[in-house]
Amino acid sequence: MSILPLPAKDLPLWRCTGCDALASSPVSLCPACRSDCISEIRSPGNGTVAASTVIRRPSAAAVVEGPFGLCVVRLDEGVLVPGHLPSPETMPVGTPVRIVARRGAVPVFDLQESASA
Amino acid sequence: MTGLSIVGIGSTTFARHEGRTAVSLAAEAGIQALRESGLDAEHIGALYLGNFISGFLTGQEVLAGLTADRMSLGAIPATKVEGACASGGIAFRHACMAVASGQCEAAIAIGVEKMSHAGTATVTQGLNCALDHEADAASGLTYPGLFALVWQAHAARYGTTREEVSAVVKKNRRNGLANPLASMGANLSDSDIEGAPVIADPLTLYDCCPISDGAAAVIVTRDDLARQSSATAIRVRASAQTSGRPGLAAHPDLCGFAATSAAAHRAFADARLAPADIDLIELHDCFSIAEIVDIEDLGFMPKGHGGAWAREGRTAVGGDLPVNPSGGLEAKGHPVGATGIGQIYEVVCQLRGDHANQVEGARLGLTHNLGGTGVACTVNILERTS
Repeated sequence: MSILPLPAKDLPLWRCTGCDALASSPVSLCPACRSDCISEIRSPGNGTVAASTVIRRPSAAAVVEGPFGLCVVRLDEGVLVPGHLPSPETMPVGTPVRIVARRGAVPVFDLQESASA
Repeated sequence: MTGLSIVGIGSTTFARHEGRTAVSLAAEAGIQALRESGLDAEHIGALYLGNFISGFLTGQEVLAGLTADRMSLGAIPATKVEGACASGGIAFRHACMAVASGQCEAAIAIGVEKMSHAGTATVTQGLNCALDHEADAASGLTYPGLFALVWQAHAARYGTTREEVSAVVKKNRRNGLANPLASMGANLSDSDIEGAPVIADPLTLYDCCPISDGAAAVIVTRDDLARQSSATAIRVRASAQTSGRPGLAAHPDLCGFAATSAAAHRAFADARLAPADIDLIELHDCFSIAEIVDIEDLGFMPKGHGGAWAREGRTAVGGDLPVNPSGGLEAKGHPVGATGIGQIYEVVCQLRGDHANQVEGARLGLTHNLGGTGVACTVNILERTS
């Protein structure tokens, strides 16, 4: 699947309006306080690499052919979010990254410095 | 749960069983367990079958009813349970609850999986049924990928090294050489492991458990009926099951699984025992790094110390705390639904004193079975009382 530029370079997050807890995927009740008042907000998509790998043997159902770089990013808001890396290489834990594109629904993260260059 | 014993065990080899069906494997293990127990089939009041993806991979469902029929168990309730790779452990706990509740005086738990006929990409797709598809599957995450991420996070926080993880691989593959049920025993060197094809950086082929077929079965009874059995009874001191957050991003630091910590806490509390009481462990080493993470999560040492224990040989047979003397998932293979029961089979052999890799004087053993992205976990504590 080709890499598409984001119309708006941001990410959806879900915030509990009761206790402000954040989640990076949709929740029905807040995991912290069980409130059902959940609102969708936008993150600018800045964070640091929490872990990364290269998937060399993908699932038969994968939308991207391997190998591809996969990461989990800790956003500045504090939550983790899975995403892709621009090339099939790992990035050290703690590397500052930002969202630069999207493959389907999956955010692609790259170095903050190269992304702003 | 008190007053429960395991009186019969059975297992196929964990290997490629070409031309066999899941039902024939399950029935083979079940009949072996029933015969070993010496109990009449009329005593068996319930069957619980753990299975994960045989429906997806073979097109055959109703495996519990088919297996009960193949074993001629009559009209007893036969129930399939599913919790990804923890399906077998969950089946065992349900058999324990059926007996403890008084619904029946004996129950059989069987775990089974048939996988090896399918290609790796299709098996990977099947195993991915255990991912949270709303949160994670679109990213192309796989289970080797998940444990590769766990390894990188664990290494960044605690300094865990390739050498320490390889120590787990070498120990488990070596343990498998003597186990007649294990198909992947081997003497491996560090260079064998590091030179193997990379599956998901830094995991190589030898860091991953092999795709396998197989079945295992155990019979649970009340203690009074256990005395009628011809087999040496092993007491169930605790059988705990927990759930964890399924999404990758819901794990606070990727260095452990909360479901494991919670299940261990519950099992030790129920048994009124502590980690120091345990003589051996069979745990869920689906990937080499998982053994280090699991043994820490189970509470046997502080987080970050598991790698050193492996490197120093403290988890070998004859070490302070033998882990996976069977060879574990890495040397036995991982027929997913069978694994949790296979672990109980191995610990029962140890507590009876007749295991190929016997831990001298073993009296208390623990099994740990983890499903999915930490979404389900079971921990059992078993005891030799004679």
